[in-house]
Amino acid sequence: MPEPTQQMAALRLLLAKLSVPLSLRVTLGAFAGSLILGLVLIAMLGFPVLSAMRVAVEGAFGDARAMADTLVFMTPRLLVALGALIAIRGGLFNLGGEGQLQMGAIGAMLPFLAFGDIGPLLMPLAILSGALCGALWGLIPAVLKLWRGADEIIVTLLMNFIAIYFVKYLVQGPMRPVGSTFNMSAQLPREGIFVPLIDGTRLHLGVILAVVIALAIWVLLQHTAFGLKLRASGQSPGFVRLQGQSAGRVALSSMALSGAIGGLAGAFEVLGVQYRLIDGFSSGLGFEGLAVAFLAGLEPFGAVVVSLYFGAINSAALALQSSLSIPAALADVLSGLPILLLAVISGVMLIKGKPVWTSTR
Amino acid sequence: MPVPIIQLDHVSKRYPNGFLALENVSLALHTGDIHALLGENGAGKSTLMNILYGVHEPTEGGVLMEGREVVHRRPADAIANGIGMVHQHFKLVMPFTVTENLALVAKGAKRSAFRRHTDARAFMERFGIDLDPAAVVGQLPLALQQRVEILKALVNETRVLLLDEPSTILTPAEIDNLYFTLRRICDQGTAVAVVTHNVDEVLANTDRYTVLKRGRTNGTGLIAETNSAQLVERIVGHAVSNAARIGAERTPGTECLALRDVSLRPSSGSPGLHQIDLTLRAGEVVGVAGVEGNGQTELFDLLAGQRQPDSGSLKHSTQDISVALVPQDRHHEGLSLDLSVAQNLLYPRIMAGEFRRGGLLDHGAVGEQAKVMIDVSDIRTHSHATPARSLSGGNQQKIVLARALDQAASVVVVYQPTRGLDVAAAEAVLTRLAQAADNGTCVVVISSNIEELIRVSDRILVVNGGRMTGEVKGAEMSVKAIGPLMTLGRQSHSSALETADA
Repeated sequence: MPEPTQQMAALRLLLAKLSVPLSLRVTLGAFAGSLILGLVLIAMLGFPVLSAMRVAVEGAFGDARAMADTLVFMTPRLLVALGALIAIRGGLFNLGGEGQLQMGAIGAMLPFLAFGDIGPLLMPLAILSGALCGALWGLIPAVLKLWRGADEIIVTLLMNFIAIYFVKYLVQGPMRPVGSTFNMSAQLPREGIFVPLIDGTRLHLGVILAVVIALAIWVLLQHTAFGLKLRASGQSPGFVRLQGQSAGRVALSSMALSGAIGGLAGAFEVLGVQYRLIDGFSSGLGFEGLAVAFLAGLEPFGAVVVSLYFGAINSAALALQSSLSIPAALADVLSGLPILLLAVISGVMLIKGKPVWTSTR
Repeated sequence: MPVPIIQLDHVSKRYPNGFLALENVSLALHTGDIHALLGENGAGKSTLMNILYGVHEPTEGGVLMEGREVVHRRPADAIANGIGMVHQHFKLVMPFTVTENLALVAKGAKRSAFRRHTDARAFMERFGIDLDPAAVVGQLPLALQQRVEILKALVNETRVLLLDEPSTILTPAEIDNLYFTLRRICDQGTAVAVVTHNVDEVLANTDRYTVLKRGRTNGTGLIAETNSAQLVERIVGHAVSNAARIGAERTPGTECLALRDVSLRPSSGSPGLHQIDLTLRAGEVVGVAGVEGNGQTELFDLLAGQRQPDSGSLKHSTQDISVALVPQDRHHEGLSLDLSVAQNLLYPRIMAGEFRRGGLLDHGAVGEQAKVMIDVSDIRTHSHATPARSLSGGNQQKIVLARALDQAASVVVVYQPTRGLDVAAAEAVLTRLAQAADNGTCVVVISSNIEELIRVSDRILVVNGGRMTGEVKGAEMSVKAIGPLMTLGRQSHSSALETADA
C-alpha cells in the first residue's frame, strides 16, 4: 500500500499527462459554444429544439446515405485545409484556396476538352491536370513574392476573384456546348468521373483520396527531412537562412504543393459531384477550408476532424430544411460561429498576455 | 530587523511535466536594498522571479507582503500589489515615444499623469533618469530602452522592482550607470531584486545576495560579509580559476580563409567595414575584440556567407572549406525553437541526408545520436524530444555550440559564445572551443569580453568603427593593450550612447 502522498504525486503526474493543451481546450470550447448558440438560435426561431437535434444527427449520420453526404461535404473542405496548412506552416499565408480550387476544377475538364472521350485514361489525367492547374495558380504568388517582394496574403486573396470570374467566363463562352443556354460545360463521360462507390449514395473515390492525402501530409511534415525544413522555415526563417538553405526554394515547393492540393479539391468536386464545370459550384468552399485549417491548429489529422464537423453541419442543415423547414443558412451560421468565437477568445487571451498559440508551429 | 516588504516562505515549484524547479526556497526583500539573486543557468532564478510576479503559483509555500500572505494568480495581481518587473526581453512598443510607452502601462488615474512629455520628464527625474520623453523607443540604443522598461515597471506605485538579467546586454560602463539608477530607485523607498550571474557586479553594487543551486538555496546574506571566492564557490560548487589560459600554445597550420581589402558600406545602425585584411589558418583561435556595434556583426555575416563584400575579396583556400556558425541571436538564428532539442542538434546532418530509413526520417536514430551529444555537452533538458523553447538560455546556447562543433567544419565562427552563461557553463564552452582548435579547426571568437578572449585566443584582432585597429598576439595580449585600441579615436556614432547615458 503506497503512502497517500505518493498516490497524490502519481495522480498529479497522470493529470499533467492527460491535461489538454490550451489551444485544444479553447478550440473545443469554441465548437461547443457555437453548437449551443445554434440551438438557442433554433429555439428563438420557434422550432422544436429536441426534434431539431434528432433530425440534425440523423441527417448527418443516420444512415449510409446521410453518412456519405457528410463525407462528400467534408472532402473539398479537407483538401483546401490541407493545402492551406502546408503553405502556412512553411511560412507563407496562402489565402488562395478558393482560387486554386476553381483552377483545379477547370483543370479537371481540360483532358476531356482536349482529347475527347479517351476511355479509362481520362480520369487519372483529369486528376493530374487539376492538381497541375492548382499548383501553377499557387506558384504565381510565390514567384511574385520572391521576384518583386509582393505580399502573398494580398496576392493569393485577390487571385481568388480572378479564378472565380475566369470560371464564369469559361462556362458562358469557350466551354459552353453549342446551342446550350445554361452556364455550364458539357458533362464528362462515365469513364471520366468518380462513379458512386455505394449505390444510392454519393460516396466517391475523392473522399478516400482526400483522407489518404491527409495521412501523406502528416508523414511529409513529421517524418521527412523536407517536412522538417518546411516547419523550420515557417517558424524561424533566420535559422534556416543561417543553415545555408534557400528560403525561396522552400517557398516555391510549399506553394506548389499547397496549390496542387487546393486544385485537387476543385477537381474532385467536378469528377465526384458535378460531373461538369458549373458557375458557382463552390459557394466559398475555399474560404471554409481555410477556416478548417486554422480551427484544426494547422494539424492534418485535426483538419480531418474539423472538416468532418463542417461536412456534418452541412448535411444536417439539408435535413433540417427538408423536414423542419429550418433555413439551410443555419449551416453558414454554425460554420462561422466557431471561427468567430475562436478569434474572439484568442484575441482576448493575446491582450491578457496568454496567447493561445505561440507560433505557427 | 524590520519586516521584509516581500517574502517567499518555503516555496517549492513543480511544473506540470514533473520538473521540480524550486525546492523549499525562502527569500526576503527589504525596502532600500538591492538584493542579488545568483545562480547557474537553470538554477531556478527565473522561476523564482515568475512566482514573485504572479506568472506561476508556488506548488507549496507562500508569498508574504509585509508579513501578510498574498496570492498572485496573474501578473495583474502582483502589479496591483506594487510589484514591477523588467524582463530580459523587452516588452516595449517600438514605434511609440517614451511617454506613450509609460502611459500605456499606467493604471486608472495614473494614466492622466503621463499625458504630456513634461509629466514623463518629471517622473523620470525622481529616479535621476535623463531621457528625451519624445524619443521614439525603437530608435533608442538598448541600454536606454532598458531604462524605459525600468520606468514602465515603476509607473504604478511600485514597492518591489524585479530585474531579470539586466546586465547581460550592457557594457561595463552601462552596468555602472544601471546600478546608479537602481540605487536612486531604492532610495525612493523600493526594494530591488536583480537576477545575474556576474559576481563582480554583485560585489560592487548590491547589498544582499541569495544563491540558488539546482532549485535550492545555497547561501544568503549580506554582501559586506562575503567575498568573490565564497560567492563563486556557492554558485558553481567548486572554485574556478579566472585567469588561467585555456589550451596550450598552438602552431597555426595551412591557410583556409582570407579576406583581402574587404569593405562594406555603412548604413543606419552599422559602421560598415573598411579595408579589412584577415587570414584565418587551421588550428588557431582568433579573437575579435571591440565595443559592440563596431563591425562585429558585419564581419560575422561576411564569414557566414550571409553578405557579400561591396569591394575586396573573400576567398576559401580550397573547395571543401566549410563554415559552422554560432550566431548572436540564439532565438531567431541559432535555434528553431519549436523543433525538438534533437532536431536542432542534428539539423545540418539530417539535411545532409543522414538518419534516413526507407526514405523517411529515422527519429529513433536521431534521438540516440542526440542523447550522446546532450551527454557530452551537459545540456540540461527533460528529454531530447522537448522543444528547444522550453530550455533555459544557457542550455539553448549549449545546443547551438554542440551543433557547430559536431559539423566537423574547417572554420567555426562564434559570436558572444558565453553571453548569458554562468561561470561553469562559460568555462565549458571555452574549453570546447580550445579543443576544437587543438584538433585543427580554425575558431573565430567574436566577443566583447576581453578577459575571456585573452584566455582562449592565440591572437586578438580589435575592431573599432568598422576598421581593424590592431592585432595583438601571445604574451602581448592584455586588457591594457587591447582597451585603448577598442576605445580611442572612436567615431561619433558610438559615443552618442555614452552622452545620452551620462
